[in-house]
Amino acid sequence: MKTSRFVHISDIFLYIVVLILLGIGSIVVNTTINNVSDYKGSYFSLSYPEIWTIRTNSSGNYIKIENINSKSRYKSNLSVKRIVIDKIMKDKKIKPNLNPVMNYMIGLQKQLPMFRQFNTKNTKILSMSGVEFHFAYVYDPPANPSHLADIPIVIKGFARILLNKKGTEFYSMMYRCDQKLFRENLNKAKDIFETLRVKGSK
Amino acid sequence: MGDDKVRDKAKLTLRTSGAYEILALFVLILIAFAVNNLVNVKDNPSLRLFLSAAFAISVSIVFLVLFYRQDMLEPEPKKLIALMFLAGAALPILVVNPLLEGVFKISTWSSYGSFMNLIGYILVIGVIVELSKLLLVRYTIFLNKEFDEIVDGVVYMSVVGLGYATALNLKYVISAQGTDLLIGTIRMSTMTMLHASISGFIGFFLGRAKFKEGNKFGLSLGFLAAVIFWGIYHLIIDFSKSGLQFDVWKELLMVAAFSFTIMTVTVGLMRYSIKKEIKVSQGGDQ
Repeated sequence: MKTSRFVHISDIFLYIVVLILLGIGSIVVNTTINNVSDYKGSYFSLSYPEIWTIRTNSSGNYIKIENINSKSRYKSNLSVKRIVIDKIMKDKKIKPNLNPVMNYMIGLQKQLPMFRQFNTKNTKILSMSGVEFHFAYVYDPPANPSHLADIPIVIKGFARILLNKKGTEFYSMMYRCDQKLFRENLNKAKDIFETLRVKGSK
Repeated sequence: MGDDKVRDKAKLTLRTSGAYEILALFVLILIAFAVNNLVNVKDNPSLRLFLSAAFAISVSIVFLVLFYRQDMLEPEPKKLIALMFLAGAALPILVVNPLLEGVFKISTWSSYGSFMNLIGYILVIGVIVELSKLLLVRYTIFLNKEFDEIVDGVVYMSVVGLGYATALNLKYVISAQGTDLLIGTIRMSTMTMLHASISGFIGFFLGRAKFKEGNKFGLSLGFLAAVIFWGIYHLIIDFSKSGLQFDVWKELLMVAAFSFTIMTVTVGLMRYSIKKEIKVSQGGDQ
């Protein structure tokens, strides 16, 4: 085979090896990333990455999916919570509005230490309306003497809270992780949120 | 007679230069240990950042001298060495990181568990990192007349690896706003050794590809071994952790031992190559 100073025969074999390695690598990576499990509960369903672990409560109105392989002491997680709106509110036959959602957000602020909220915007998904916002708070990891430092971790999160069409219930979806991992995983979290299907919604 | 003196000196330097440089590295780590204990850097972020960056650069200089001195038969021009070092430093910033993040979405799958990381280290990260260094040398200095012996492959690839590691170390230091001087210096030393050693290892096969006619598979096999080294490195990192527990000393010692093994093999290959050249040269004189 004729070769030039720019392409030796050894280069050709090298490029073949590189193509094979990268090809196998891409296939394995894409297959693993795209493998999903389905959660089908009484109130809603969701698809999530196969290697994440899921926990649900007995009534099926709350699930938490955790990436136990997160490179942080705080494991990245997604949660979905179905919240039934106060019966009194329903009985008043008030036109569905986002007030219960806003009240829920205020409740969150009180629960989480040093809670900060940014970029709130209204949204409309699957015939449900609601709000989306980014937030941050401080998480104090449990003491563990083997760690170099037990310093608090700043958690960043993305939340989407959607009210159903009748205004009788809303769904709080939250993605939370160590702030260092937030940006790189946000789109993945949003993709998982997009797979949420609520019974009764189209 | 003059040539014989040079050869004898070369043989002697071969035996001792590696030992001197390893000694220099230990001295550097001892200095880091002393400074860490004598100077209160914890409360002075600027000083900590400055000293961490200084140690990051010092580590690279020690290894640069180590690899440069191995090529004492016909030392490479310092200007070219400096250029390749800088080009190597530009690689992670301009090529590798954008490629790994943009095309291979490394951050998406790097948290998908140990097996995924192992596959990723061997088949994606190792390939991209080492291929970028290899192509840089292959299409620049490899075509230059100064690349005139097999050992030059090791020298230039190691220098590119050192530049690469230096950029990574500086990035690590800057993003962490300085590091613990002792742990940081040891960690940067092991990473620098690893990059330089793995690149140098491939460089040997690159040199052979240029000067040994009919050597078709050597470069591919050397490259394959190098990417497997990255997988072994990942296994070492994984092995040195248990669950959430993080043993920095275990990790550092194991990576250091692994890097040192590759470096010893690479230096051994270089010495073997130089010895052969000396033998051929002596045979030609008689």
